Amino acid sequence: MVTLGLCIRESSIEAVVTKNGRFIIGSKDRSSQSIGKDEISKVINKLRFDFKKIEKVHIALDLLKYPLSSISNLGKIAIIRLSYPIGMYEEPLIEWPNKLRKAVLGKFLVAHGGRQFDGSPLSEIDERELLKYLERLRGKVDAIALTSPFSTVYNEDESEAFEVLRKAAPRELPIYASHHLGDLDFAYRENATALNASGCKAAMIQVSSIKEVLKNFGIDAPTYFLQNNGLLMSNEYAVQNPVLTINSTYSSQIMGVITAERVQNGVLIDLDGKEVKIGPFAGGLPVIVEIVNIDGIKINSGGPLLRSLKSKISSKIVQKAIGSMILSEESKIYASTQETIQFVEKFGKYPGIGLSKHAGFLGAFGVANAKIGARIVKVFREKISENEAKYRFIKDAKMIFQRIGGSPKDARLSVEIAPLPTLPLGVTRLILLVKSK
Amino acid sequence: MISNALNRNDLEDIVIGATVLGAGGGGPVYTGRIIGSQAIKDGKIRLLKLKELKDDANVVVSFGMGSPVVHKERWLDYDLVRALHALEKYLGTSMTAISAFEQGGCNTPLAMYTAANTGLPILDGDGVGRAVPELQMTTFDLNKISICPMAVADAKSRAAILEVESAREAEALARAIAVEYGGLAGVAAYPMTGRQAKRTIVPNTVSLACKIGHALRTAKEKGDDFYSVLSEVTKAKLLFRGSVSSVESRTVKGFDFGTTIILGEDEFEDKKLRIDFKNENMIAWMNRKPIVMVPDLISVVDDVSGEPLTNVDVKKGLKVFVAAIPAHKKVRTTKGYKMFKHVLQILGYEGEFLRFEEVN
Repeated sequence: MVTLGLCIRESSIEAVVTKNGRFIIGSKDRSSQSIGKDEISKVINKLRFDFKKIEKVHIALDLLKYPLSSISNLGKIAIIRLSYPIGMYEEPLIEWPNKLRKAVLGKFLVAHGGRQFDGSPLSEIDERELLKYLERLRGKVDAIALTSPFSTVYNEDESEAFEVLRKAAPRELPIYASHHLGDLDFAYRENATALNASGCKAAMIQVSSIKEVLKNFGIDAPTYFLQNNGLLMSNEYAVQNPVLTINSTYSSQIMGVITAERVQNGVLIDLDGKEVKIGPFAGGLPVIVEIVNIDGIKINSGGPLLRSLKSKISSKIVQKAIGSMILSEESKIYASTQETIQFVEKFGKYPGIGLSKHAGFLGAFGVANAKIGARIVKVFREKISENEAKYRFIKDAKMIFQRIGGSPKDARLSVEIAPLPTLPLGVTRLILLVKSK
Repeated sequence: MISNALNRNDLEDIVIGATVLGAGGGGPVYTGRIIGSQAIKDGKIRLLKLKELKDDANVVVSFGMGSPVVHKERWLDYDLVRALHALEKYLGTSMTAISAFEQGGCNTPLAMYTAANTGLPILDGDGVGRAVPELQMTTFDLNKISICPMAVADAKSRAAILEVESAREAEALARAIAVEYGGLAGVAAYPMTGRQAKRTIVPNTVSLACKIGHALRTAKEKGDDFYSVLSEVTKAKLLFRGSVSSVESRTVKGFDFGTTIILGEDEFEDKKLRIDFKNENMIAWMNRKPIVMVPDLISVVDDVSGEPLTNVDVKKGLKVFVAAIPAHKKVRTTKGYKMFKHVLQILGYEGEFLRFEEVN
């Protein structure tokens, strides 16, 4: 299988061709913050490869990074919060930077529905009210984000409202429900859903541009994007879920180390422009945390555990940041490029930092070798064992795996009982990991 | 740096600084930011110094009650204002100033929310100068200010008025009502005169929180040492530096009991610190010797990012420093210590109050 791997970042673009996982050829060049089609084309062109042989394209690109930093191409959204009579006085996204909030938030409406912590209703869903709201929003917003307290535990109201709106809404007005995407903790979940709904427009533009570039090279192969958990998704799924690509270029570097060095556990230090990222990997994937901080905005759709050092840093801070990521005795420390080592050594000597094989092309090599999969967080309103969860939800997991671009017969499922970030309440929280064999 | 009309920068600094003063507790910080941001948006928040408070003013303490974990899914908002209005109706009088119950990353902004939505000023002070797990652990109770009448309200326009003898009784009843209200309730309590407030309230704690937050924020921008700047603003002593080795917690009757173990680094190499908490950090032990305890503050700060940590945020592997900050003189007394003694006994300490400055 011949795969083209692309890792597209603010500081550089890497392209690698692999055959059955082996590195064949690579190219790289600097890029600008806005990353144009010409820049991507230039790097692909440098490969001087017979592109008709490409059977798959795997891409690592943070689909929200530039749209958020430049506040461009973001969709205007409406947030419908099912929580009447509560939640009327807390405006959504209130802690977001003003400019970004103004660009993203079109309308905020509180509707009937939602649950208390014990499952009792706040109020009953009112279908007519929802349809009335929909009429008010037609032509005024690009997407709708549907949120509700406790929706991760009790998703009935959100699901019902989602179906009512989805059936009546025009195709060009997509609906996003918070329980599909975020974890427990309402504020972070509402942020994640809003960001995702708003980011789809920008995602579509970027994905279309890249497809155009590939077409110009005669590459007509299935395209996949890397999620920040180190697993791939189809480009259609990526356009619907751009939040899953946040920090994915860093994850692609991690996947590169894992594949190149044939290690399962370790720490990766990566210099991307002026930002140093330090994070661990374990069990052959980036270590994932539920809460991701994007310049002060917290979302809980998940992302790699990492320390990002941007502002003035000292050798002490670098040392502590590295130390805090060493999760086990077997963890070795890798640098993604020679420049990374040079940058870190400006703050002191750090014995034990090794340059990974394929340094300089780690991101593209990593994404080229990544597999399709999904990491699903499920909350059950009862105590449930891992085996029982596996048995009951294998169908759901395979369905999600198929939606994400995989073939159900290739799916391999593993389950772990995860600690609850909030809400004891007798619920069980599970992480289901389904990936290609 | 802090004017008497709070702005967004002040809010961010107050939330960070109040989290330091929250000593491991004080409510979910991000929720505090959201509620505080909403407060700033809703109205002008005026900070009033105690000396500017008239003796015949009517002061009320505004706070939230219920499960902090429920608060992460469903926020307190107008419940706080309803509680205040319910108490005013019962007393037949209008309030003229608001005090926070305690300092904490969420609890301080809750009082600011009430202030913004009622047009009342918020006092630069609170009932204890830190966060505490139980209602009766305040200078209000030390000085025999009655907690009742107390109003407990929810977002569905329900309100209950309590008239009981002690803060303990009031807490038990109010918590039961909060559960009935969906796990959370807004509370207005300790109605007092301006004269009483001046006598009892721990002063200048909101502005102190702002100074702490500002210091940590600028230290991050300049690359300065976080502990150094913290000790300049407070009288903090560096208790420990190291890596979090474990955090264990369990919920008992609505409280989070637990233990954090930190392994020493740098000058604390080969040493181990243990912090026992009941929502807030109560006592720290080094090599099994107690070295700091309530009412003094034990604050854990992320040594890489400078972010103060509540016990919910402390995770294995984090590089942290631990600072001991002396409690305010109104609380750092024999009587003040006695408020916490029963908790320390549960946590294995039976002795008298130990001043951390005197421990070797």
